[in-house]
Amino acid sequence: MRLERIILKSFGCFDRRDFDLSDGVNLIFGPNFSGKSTLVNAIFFALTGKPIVPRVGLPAMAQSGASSGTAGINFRNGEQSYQLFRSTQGEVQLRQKEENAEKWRILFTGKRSADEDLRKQFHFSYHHLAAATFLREGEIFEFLARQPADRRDVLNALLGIDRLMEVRQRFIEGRRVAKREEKRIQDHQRSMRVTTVKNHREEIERVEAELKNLEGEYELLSGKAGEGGDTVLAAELTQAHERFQKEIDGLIQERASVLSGFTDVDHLRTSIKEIETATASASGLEKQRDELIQGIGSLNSQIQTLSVECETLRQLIDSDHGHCPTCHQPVQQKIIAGILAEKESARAASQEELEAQQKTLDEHTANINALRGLRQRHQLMQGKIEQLERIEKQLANLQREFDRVASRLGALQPTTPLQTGAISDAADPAQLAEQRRQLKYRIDSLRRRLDGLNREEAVIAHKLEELQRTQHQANQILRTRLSFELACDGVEKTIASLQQTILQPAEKEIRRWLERMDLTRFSQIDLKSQHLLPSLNVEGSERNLLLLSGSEKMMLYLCFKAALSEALGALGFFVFDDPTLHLDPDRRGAMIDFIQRLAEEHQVIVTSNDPEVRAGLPDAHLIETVSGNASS
Amino acid sequence: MPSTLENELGEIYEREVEKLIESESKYHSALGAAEVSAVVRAFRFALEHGPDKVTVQMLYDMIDDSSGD
Repeated sequence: MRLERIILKSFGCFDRRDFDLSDGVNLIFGPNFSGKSTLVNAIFFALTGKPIVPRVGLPAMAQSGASSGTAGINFRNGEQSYQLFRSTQGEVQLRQKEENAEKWRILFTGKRSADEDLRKQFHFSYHHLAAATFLREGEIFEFLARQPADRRDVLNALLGIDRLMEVRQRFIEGRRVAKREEKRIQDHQRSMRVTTVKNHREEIERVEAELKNLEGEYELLSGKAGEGGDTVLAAELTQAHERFQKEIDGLIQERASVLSGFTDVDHLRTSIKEIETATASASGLEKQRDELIQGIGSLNSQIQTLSVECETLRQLIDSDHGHCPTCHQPVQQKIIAGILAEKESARAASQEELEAQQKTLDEHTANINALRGLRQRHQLMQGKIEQLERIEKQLANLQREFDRVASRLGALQPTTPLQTGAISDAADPAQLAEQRRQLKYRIDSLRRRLDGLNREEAVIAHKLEELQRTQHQANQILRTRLSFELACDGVEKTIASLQQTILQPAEKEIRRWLERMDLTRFSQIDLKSQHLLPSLNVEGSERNLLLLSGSEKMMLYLCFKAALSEALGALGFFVFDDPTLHLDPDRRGAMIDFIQRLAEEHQVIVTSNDPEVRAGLPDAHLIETVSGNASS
Repeated sequence: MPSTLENELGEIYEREVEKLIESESKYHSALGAAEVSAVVRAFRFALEHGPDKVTVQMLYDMIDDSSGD
């Protein structure tokens, strides 16, 4: 970027003045209170919308007695010429010179903040200009007096780290949510483990075997007593048979109710598969909708900008002033009417596109709602499958029991007394009756125990399924939490990498400048540890800028600025306000030498009232200022 | 932020995340390509649209969806 002209209207001590600038060194020379710093401020204000001296209100920059002042610059960026005007009331106008013509085309105008547009188009920001391109009077001492946290904020803004830190903060909050969810699932898992620690399968088998033996003994005993043991056992078995049948019927009914709407489990599974295929094919819908929302936002903003521009142009056409209120250039009604027609046509086209996109968005939103409905249905059907699996398992168990009882009922024959030791000796009917009563009591209690165990086993099976489901959720949330940790660590590493990418070349560049300026005794410059304060390590001992002499501080600081500017992507110009202030005669010569060397690569604008500077820069483009009135 | 770097920030982030996945066992034992891709996508999304427009829930959904695959 090359500055070509400064245009002032009621700005600072100037009423209405233009100052042409050239490549190489431009020396703005004049006594105190002649407006030198005003010119520096005008360039800075036109580019950033902020005064170069902090804490000065915008209205204060206008000429005393004027309601508003305007600072403008003409500049070249690549092959294109631009005009940028900014009023102290906040209006901005950027124009571009049309190819092979003397006409200027308005790129944007109005009161809105144009900083983001300027940053994107010309690759500079307030922090970039303040830290690397401009040197204002007394800046070095102010910079050295800043708190480390304050300098760190400047560094973060310069490198864009502040935005990265905001993104990291979002990731940290996401990780917090994932951690909370993870803890909830872990607590749930723990509570389930306590209740499912014991498996009853072995005990059930043992009780079943014992029961079988006892029932055999009871049959034998009943036969021996001649009391029709078969009849008693048959009655009990029939009772159990009926009970199992009832439970089976209940489960079949439950299965039918779960299956409602589906012919069988396979039908249900086929429907689930169809939903999965449909949702997989629509997986990109949400992303597309996000992009559409973004597109609509950008179109809205475009339409708004065009509306403001059209309104401004209409006002310009309707006004009788004959001059632009922002840049004070003569108004050519015909040209402006042409521009207005172009802008209105562009706005109509954008409006049309907006409506089309809005329609597409509505369709996407309807599809996404349908997709959500499908996902809910999928979840419901998965639940049904799980329920059915549980019912089938219970049915299989019951059916086994049922078959066992049925087979025993079928095989019940008149018992043949066996000659076992325990029973053969008990010939006394009273003793036999007592033995049978005791056996019956044990059989009943074992049956009750078996029923209880089977019920508990069914509950355990159900809980095990839930445990598996929860385990799946726990694995998922673990991956989510780790993903957020990875996201946070990734931002940390990106910040470190960014610092290295910018600051290491900047440190090398400082060293190059120091060598050029014969200040090579400084070594190992570290910009990161002290947050942009170039701390020095001289022969192993740590020294920072504060410990150097005033002139050394100034020289090193200027080398630091030139280097930082290069590392950030040099803009092509530097503006130094009174750089020889506080320098001893030797360093003044070095400073003049520094400016000349800098001008070999960049445009340099220097203000001074030092005759030595004027004499030392004989080839500079000279702009002389006198109090309130400047000549070029 | 220098615009060239701004454009490259997504690539720098992706490189750093891949390095972390390779070097840290806690990550490479649990996370796969889907999760890494979701993390990078979430970063680009947050950086592009800014924290004012991007809520934690948006980022959570982007990342959690990939973990459920």
